Amino acid sequence: MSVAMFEEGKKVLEMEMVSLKFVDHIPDGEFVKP
Amino acid sequence: MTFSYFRLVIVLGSTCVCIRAQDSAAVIVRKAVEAMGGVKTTAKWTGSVRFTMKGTVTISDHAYGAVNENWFQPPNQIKTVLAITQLNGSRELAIDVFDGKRAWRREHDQTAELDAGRRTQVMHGLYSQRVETLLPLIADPAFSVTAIPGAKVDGREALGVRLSSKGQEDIDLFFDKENGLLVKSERMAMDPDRDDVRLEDYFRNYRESVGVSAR
Repeated sequence: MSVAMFEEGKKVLEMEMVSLKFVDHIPDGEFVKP
Repeated sequence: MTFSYFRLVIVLGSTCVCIRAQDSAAVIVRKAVEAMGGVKTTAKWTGSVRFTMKGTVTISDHAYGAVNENWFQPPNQIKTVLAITQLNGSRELAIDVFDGKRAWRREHDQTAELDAGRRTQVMHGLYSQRVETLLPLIADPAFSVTAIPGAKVDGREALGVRLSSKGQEDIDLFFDKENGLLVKSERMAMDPDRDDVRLEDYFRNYRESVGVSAR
């Protein structure tokens, strides 16, 4: 969970991993301008 | 939201490394690596990885459903897609990409290249992720690790260390005193909606995944 603290409050992101895959390589095409 | 919401799970096995308060910072880190399955297992986190997370994002007491897809390739390529379900049921997408040199954010159907300041923050997020694999802390002499006062994290005693490296902001890590696992990290970060904020990451509900202690 990530908690970003602000003066007037906070933003909380609470996440659980639901899938995970280690791979040899991710094509560069995945990392292009969206 | 930032690139750094790369947060997870791991195992809580029966491992007890029983960190002692007088242990040095280096010993604390080594015991944490051991608790996470050892160097060989932990090293898997330094390679290319794809993962998906689900949960909620709470802003001003409103909780929204969120799905976060991530692609990471060392040393510095990352893509995250964050889908947030709005109160009216519609989905809002935020896509962040860093190709190693340039970074973009796409939201509200518009793409903008990040300026140098925000790109630096992205790179610091990547640095933080690398630090949280713990391996660089025992293998890379560029890191300085010092003990800091412990704290209670989720009601449990934790021991703290501070990671310093030239050109990077410090990161404080806290490890469960009983089982040795990383339970919290804390650092300064930039939020797209604000300026600098104190970012705290809590690591809970460790469980074993695809043969490694996945977090």
